[in-house]
Amino acid sequence: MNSREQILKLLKQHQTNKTPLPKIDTTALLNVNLVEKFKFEFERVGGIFIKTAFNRIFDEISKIITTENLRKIYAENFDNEINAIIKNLQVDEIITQPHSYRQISIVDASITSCDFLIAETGTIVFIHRDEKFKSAVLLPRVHIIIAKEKQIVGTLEEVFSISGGNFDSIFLITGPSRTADIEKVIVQGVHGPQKVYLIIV
Amino acid sequence: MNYTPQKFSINAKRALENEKLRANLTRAIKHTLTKRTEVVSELSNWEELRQLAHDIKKHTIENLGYYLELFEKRAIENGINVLWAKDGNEAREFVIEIAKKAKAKLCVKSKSMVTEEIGLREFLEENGIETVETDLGEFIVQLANEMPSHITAPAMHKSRDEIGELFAEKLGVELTTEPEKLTAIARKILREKFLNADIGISGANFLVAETGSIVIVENEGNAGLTTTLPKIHIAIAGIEKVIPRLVDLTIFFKILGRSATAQRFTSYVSIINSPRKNKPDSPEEIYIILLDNGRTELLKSEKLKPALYCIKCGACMLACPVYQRVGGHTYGSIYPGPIGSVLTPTMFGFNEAKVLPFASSLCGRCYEICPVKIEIHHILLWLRHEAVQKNLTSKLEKIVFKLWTISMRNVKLYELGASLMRFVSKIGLQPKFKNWTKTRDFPQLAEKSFREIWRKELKNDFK
Amino acid sequence: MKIGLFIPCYIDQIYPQVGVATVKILKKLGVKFDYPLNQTCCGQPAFNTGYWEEAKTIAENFKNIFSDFDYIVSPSGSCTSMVKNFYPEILQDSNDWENKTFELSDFLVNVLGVDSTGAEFPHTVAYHDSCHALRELGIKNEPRLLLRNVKKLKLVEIENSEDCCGFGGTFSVKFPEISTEMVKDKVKSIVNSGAEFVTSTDSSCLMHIFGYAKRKNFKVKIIHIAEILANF
Ligand code: SF4
Repeated sequence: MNSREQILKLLKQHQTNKTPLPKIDTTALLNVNLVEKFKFEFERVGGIFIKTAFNRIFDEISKIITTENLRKIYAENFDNEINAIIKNLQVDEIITQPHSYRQISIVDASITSCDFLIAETGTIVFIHRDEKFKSAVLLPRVHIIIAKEKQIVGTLEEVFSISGGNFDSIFLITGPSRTADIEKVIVQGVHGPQKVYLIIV
Repeated sequence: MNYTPQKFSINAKRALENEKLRANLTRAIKHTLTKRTEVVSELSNWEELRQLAHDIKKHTIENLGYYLELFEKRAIENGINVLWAKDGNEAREFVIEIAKKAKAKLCVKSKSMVTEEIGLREFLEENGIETVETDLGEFIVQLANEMPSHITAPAMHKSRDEIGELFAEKLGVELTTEPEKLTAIARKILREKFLNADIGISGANFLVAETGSIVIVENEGNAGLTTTLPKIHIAIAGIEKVIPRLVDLTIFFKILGRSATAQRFTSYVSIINSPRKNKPDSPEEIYIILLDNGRTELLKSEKLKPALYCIKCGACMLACPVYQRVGGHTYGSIYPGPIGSVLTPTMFGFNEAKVLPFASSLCGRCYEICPVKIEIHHILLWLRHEAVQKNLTSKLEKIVFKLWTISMRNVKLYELGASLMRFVSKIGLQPKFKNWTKTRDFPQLAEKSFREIWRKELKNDFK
Repeated sequence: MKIGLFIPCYIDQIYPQVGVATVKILKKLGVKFDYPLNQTCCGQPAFNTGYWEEAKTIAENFKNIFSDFDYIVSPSGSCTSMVKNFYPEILQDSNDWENKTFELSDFLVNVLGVDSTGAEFPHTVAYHDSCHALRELGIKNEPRLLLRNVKKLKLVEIENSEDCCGFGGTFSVKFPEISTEMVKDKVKSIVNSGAEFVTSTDSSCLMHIFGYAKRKNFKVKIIHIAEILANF
């Protein structure tokens, strides 16, 4: 008998089935302004929230480029309009078609989209089903996300009920990368980004 | 220093005298507990969440075989390789086999208690495969060649000065004690490792049966990188990690972050369903090793089963007045503190760890804080009973309790014993039990016992 | 309604005044009760050290004495918890130990519906939550309510009042150093509270606290809650 069978046999012997699996009531966020709630939670975990009009995206990113002193940028493939905005940004280099994550590892910032924003916790949701670079949200020092207001949902339950099990992976980001491993002092930017900007239109 | 459970008492004494360690522990623990109270008390339904989490775990553990098979089925459908290991040896062999086949030279590891449990890093290094801990705290203890002292805050026992000196000595960097700078140093070194690693090794906080997902919760982003960059990802998880549904995660996320690091939500969560062949990053092969290593032993006993609900948040350690004072290393096990005193003897050998269930005042703080409501203090009581049954307690103690039972069973003997003690102390022969009287006074017996007063003075009032 | 008074062995022998105070309170409230003279111990010391067989022997003895009572009342959270929470487990009998056993303050407030005993105690008093009363029996407000209604008594809270005093039965002699460190912190916070007296539902905690305080010459006076409540 191999280990699998051995373990399963033993487990089956001790199967009791006394306790029913509890039902989980979906807790929708009622009477809450989702944008406000998201902003509050996102800023509380150290994210930088920028709400702006579509025609201001260029200016907002340009401001970030100046404050963060960004020279090299990786940008995901957005729709034509946003691609055009990104193309005009004043930086040394914009990588849009990397052949390996190594190229992303040397940029100062990445600009990506996301799938959902969760108001309850200020969480940004990335669902991977496609060709996108997963590591683009982790490798650079600065991460800029462009999202639409309608992507905000109340809770993680809602995300799960929309996504089902059909994805390669889901990545949830709630604020910048952080640690408190040294004397409980919170330091941002351990392995992932130090700054997370969310531009919402 | 030699850290084994047998040496608990000696190590405890040493730890108590180590003022630096005490200061480091107190600072870290106070900080986390205060913050935890804040983020727990803002939830109006904390108790309901605990109960819900408890019931989900209870249900799952009662039907563990069913859910593991379901998980396996779904994971295989998703293209994940599922391996079953009955012990550490088998798990290690699986890993080395994969590594050899891939001609791997460098592994990056994210934080995982099971890999500590089976000594995976040491094993890989012995086999010539460089293996690097990428969680900052784990990186620090790896550099110091120590064991983690807490399951979610491994370097809690160290001060910034100590870490600064360690970095300067081991990494040849300029001495600094600023957490930001130290973190930046680690980031730089580890970034290189990430980019060149052949294999990423992780644990798993949860395995979702209905979707075959591997779920990893973290703050630094190292687990994200570990499971994204290398071409091969090996996850190792205890068989108790499975939960039925994706939606169950919403409950566990709420309690886990708050209990482990006093956060409302951890910075990063990876929910991994399948390898991504021919995609720009993400592993092409994913393995999940389901590890037993003594867990089915716990499952056999109704009393011990609940220990398998543990989500390894580490809260019971921080809340424990013993752990607070002696620190994690004293327990001589990678699972220290209250739940460690349950897991260590039951999973890794009762005889060696028989002292641990007794190293508690049974105050119940662990149960009070445990997010999945494990009655840890009552399990410890049960294990004391097991220790007695297994004949692991001292002869003297046994005799004492035999005699005690005889005198307590019979009121005449009880009264006789009490008068004897009164007499003995009257002539100045009061027995000294040093373990108490070295630091504390012990009261004398009262001149007259209550029953005497009752008989002579009170009783008649009631007739 | 038959009420049995259980005076645990160490109160009987070391702190008989606690038993006397309990009797005084019950008498004043007009409660009819019985004190069976053949009682000894609840078996907790053996039980908590792992000697369940021995504990069972003692529990059988207790059962023979107390089975017939509708209520069992005891001025000790710890011993009450032993009977209430663990007798069902070791005896597996038909007695409803869980619902008929009460710690004194719990009994006064929740069974008799009393919130004051009419006592007077012109002192500053700190209440120490014993682990067993607090976490095994869920007693937190009852003693505080009764104390607050004692005339001239000033009740102060001590920092970390819910922390263990480090006694833990045989724990205190198996791990004397750890136990002492715990009681040290407890005594420190009692001293810092400025209280003249520290009180509790459990004389065992008080014995431990006093044992350390006396050795170190701290001016901490201990008094069982029954003694305060009986001061009328
Ligand atoms: S026993 Fe409970 S508190 Fe302790 S680590 Fe496990 S889940 Fe956390």
